[in-house]
Amino acid sequence: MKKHVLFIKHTLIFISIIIVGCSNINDESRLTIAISADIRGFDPAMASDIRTGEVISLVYDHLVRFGNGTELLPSIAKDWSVSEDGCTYVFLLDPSARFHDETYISAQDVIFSIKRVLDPSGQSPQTWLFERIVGAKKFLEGQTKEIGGLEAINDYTLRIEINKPFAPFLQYLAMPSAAIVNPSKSDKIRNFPAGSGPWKLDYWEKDGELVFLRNDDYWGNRPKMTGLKIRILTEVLTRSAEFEVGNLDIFNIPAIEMLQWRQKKEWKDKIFSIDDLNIWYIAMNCSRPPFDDIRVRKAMNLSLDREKILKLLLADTGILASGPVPPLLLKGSPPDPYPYDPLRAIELLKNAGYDNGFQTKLWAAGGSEIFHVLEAFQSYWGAIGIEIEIMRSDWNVFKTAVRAGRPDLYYLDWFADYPDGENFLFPLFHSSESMTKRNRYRNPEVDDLIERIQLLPNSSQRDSLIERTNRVIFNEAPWVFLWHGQTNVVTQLKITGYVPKLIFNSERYADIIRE
Amino acid sequence: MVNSRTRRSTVFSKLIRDKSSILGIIIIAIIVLAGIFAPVIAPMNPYTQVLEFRNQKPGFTGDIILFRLKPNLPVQTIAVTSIINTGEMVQYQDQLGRVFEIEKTRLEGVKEKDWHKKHRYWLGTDNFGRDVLSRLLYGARISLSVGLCASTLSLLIGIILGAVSGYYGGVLETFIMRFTDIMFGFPTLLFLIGITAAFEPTLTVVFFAIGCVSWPGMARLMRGQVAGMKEREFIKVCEVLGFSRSRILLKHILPNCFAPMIVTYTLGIAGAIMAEASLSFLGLGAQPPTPSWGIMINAGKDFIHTAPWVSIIPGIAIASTVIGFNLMGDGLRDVLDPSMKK
Amino acid sequence: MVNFIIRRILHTVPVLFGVVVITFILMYMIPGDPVVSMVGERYDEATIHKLRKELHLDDSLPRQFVRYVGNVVRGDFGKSFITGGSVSEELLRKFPNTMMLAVASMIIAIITGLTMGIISSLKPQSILDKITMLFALVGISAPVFWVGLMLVLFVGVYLQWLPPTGFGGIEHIILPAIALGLRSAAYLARLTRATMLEVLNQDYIRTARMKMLPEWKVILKHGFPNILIPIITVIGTDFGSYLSGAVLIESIFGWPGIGRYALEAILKRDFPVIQGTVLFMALMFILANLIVDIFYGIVDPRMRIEGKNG
Repeated sequence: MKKHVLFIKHTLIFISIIIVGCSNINDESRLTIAISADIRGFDPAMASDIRTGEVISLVYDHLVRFGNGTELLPSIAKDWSVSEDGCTYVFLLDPSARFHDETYISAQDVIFSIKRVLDPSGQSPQTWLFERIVGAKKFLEGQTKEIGGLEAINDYTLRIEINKPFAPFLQYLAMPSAAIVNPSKSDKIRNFPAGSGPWKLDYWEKDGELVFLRNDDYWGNRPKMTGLKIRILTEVLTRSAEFEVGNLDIFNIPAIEMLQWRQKKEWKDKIFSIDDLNIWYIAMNCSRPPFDDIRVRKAMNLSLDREKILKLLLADTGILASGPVPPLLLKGSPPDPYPYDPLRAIELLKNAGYDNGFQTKLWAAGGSEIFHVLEAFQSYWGAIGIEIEIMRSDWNVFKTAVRAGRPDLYYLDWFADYPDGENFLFPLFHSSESMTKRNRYRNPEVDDLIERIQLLPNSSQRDSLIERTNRVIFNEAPWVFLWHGQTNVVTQLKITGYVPKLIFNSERYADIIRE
Repeated sequence: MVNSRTRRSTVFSKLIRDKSSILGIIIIAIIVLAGIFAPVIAPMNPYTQVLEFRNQKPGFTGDIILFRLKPNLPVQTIAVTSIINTGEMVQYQDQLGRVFEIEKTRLEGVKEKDWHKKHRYWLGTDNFGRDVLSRLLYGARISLSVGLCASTLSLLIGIILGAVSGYYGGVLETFIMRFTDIMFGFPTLLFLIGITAAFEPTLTVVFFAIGCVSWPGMARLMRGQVAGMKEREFIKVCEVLGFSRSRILLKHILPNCFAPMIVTYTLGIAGAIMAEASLSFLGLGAQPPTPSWGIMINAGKDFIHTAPWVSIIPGIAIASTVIGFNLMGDGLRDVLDPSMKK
Repeated sequence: MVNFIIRRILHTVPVLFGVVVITFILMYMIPGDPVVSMVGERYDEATIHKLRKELHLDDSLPRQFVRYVGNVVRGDFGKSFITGGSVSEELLRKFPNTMMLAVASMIIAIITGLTMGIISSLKPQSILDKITMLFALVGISAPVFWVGLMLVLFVGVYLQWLPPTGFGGIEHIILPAIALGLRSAAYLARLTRATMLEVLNQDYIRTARMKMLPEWKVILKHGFPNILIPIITVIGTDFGSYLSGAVLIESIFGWPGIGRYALEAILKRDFPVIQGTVLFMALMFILANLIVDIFYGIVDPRMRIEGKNG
């Protein structure tokens, strides 16, 4: 049965490769890239991780989308307006927008897509995107069948009403899970997209590759290449080698390889860098000793020579952090980062009563590459008497433990969901989030500041509140603020038109071409 | 019955005559001594990181100063480019161009040659600027101790289960042998991975896990030996004389199974060392910064382009140790019981 | 004869059952909530509760076990906690990769091992013999993952003769096959040499020589067939262990076989995948041993009598 067929198929492929030789199907107009693990599926409601989100944005469209930076551009919604009170959004849809099956996208389709995510039986982890819509909570609990805040005024006009003003709401609509789904094609959506995007799925070989063909009738910016292949290669060494041999067109260079790549003269002009909207940090559990004492937390920040680690171990691929919000999202300038001052750290520890140091555990999850930085931390803190034991575990165990508040220290990063400082404040430091899911930090002043930020429209008042909150958090040091990362990408010499994008799901490979 | 003392001396003399066994013994001796005397012979603390010296070739020399931030804290090793002696303080510039000052009282020693050195890294450095040679020496301790503990554990389990099932027979034997069959059918490495991943991956869990997984071979062997012994005349005589079964087993049967036992044990140590290295390589054994050979190979693999020695050298160490035990095991087998040759 | 085969097959059933039980028990000793990995960063108690119910994670252990065994017998190994895909489908997709690697490794092992062993046995104590045996000693002593890494480094990175890692055509399979097969080759070399030496001393060999038969005929027609039994045993067991997935090699070379599948599942606490793969691997291993046993029975009638206690 299946087993035999598969085996025969593989044997035939094996033989044919031997016969044909080691030649690769070098399709000139197809772009080949690689990702490090398979995606979860093509259902936008389940796109809770970055990788899946990136691929979703290739085959689906959204009401709005991000450009190269933080700017929001029209997509399915060609225009929109917001009411004075900031609670009602009216979108005018582009009448030329069509799904892959040629049917036109209507306001009802948008409502369908949103209701899909909020469907109580769907168990989507992304319901937070739409919970602010009037009537969404009741729908989520299964009490009603309709959502009052969603109304199709006509086929091309959509009204969305949220319960409180929230400036980033528009950006929410550009996120992967807010993709517009074709209702008539959504039954097998996990394995086959029901989308409208610039690419159409040709086939998906799980843990092998994803192959896309250009949507020749795309209503928007049609890609210049006719095909896109995404290979799933888990080993960095493999991706690196395949790129050097020419089998990959674009390669995301990990920090540990940057030094070597910078030295390769032939690729010099084809390495692109962009500062990420993210923050790497070590969170300290603020609810119990020793990290409930602000002096200890400051000591942790002062005793790490982050500059040296960033320069030498990470090949300078980042900016030192002084607060959670990346400088790109702050209108003014951030405070100076904590200096490397181990003697002061020792003094602080002594004042806090830890003259002989203490022992603690640092939790981390990920591949073995995380140790390339963590062991250095261990060494620095060991130098002032703080013995760190690294508890490496898998994401499952790690997430459960963090939620339960078990780790004293944990190492993690946070990537922006949307380019707004509020995204680095509320989900991480508001007590409703931190006390239940993160490092148990509670500060009523910070809570109040964040709540005020959320209600304000985009304005200089909002910007300065964000800066102020950033500064307060920096001074309170609930985290060891490490750095904001950087993405470095190298492309083949013949590839032109590549521009690195700030938001992870705005890359659609539309303007890239091979000479 | 053979007099065990004369037997042991002839064994020893035969063993010495075989050239390859001598080589094996020498290798093992070197590694054991290296492990025992590591704190004395190692030129540097295996945990000391000097990031500026990362991934340097064997033979590299670096300029360092040594001091302590507090008397009871470990020694700091800092790479410097220049030193200025100013009375009470010493100013130094690090390789990033930053200038620091430190009181002379904190320096490690009074004379400059005590706290300001050009250190030679004979086997190069790893990704954190740690001395590979020192880590190698300390790594010997880990491999040997885990190897010995784990194989001893599996020896004990194997002997008990094998002897009991071979001698008492019946339902007990069937039950134990079935259990052994199940353990044989289990993919061993996967089982080890599963156990160490399930519980905290520490060296204690590792040695325990390896011990709990490697006994089937010994058990089958012992059962065969004991079952064979059971039929021998002198045993039957003991039974007729009314000796208790346990006494017969312990004092008369087991000592005669000594030969195959020790061969399997010696070869088992080699296997246990390999298993520990494999687990550490996967990140499920010793945890960083412990200098286990397996971890060193794993850490080095991400830098194999720029610093291949970090992965090559510990591998040679593991291979040599295993060769040593294999040679000794082979030699013992040749001497004690040639019929054991598979 | 048929009796013997049936007996051997029946013998394996309790073993398989034992494997399932042990795996099942181990699964539940593992800490960590698999449901957490199925959802993203932001989730709530209600979603978790619902998922747990759906997966029957709150039922009692014996009940879960019975349900599992019932499914397994029907060929349903459950669904991965992480991807939601069918475990049995994944296994069947990945197994051919492991099979390819196993076959390639075994071919390399047999050709090199047997040749080395036979040549060595013809001229014992010669230089050639010593060198080959040294090589074999290193082959069984060098850690398999290190050998793999060295091949990646020297052949893949420095010499660039072959791609260092990855899955694909023949150029991708050579390095992992060598790394995997080396150990078996070394073991076979030693074994062949030892057995060959024993056999060559037998009377029937001397008779054949006295009959003035050409030396190669003596070796191949009279010597070789008699060393088959122990060699086939080793080949069979080693092949069995390759089929159950060479975890380390598949990891290093990024080979998408069942070994790596199982390793990743263990690290991610993906219970159904772990149970499915371990069961599958044990099945393969036991199957290989079964075939070896049956082969024994065919070749050596004496074994059939002892079949019951095997």
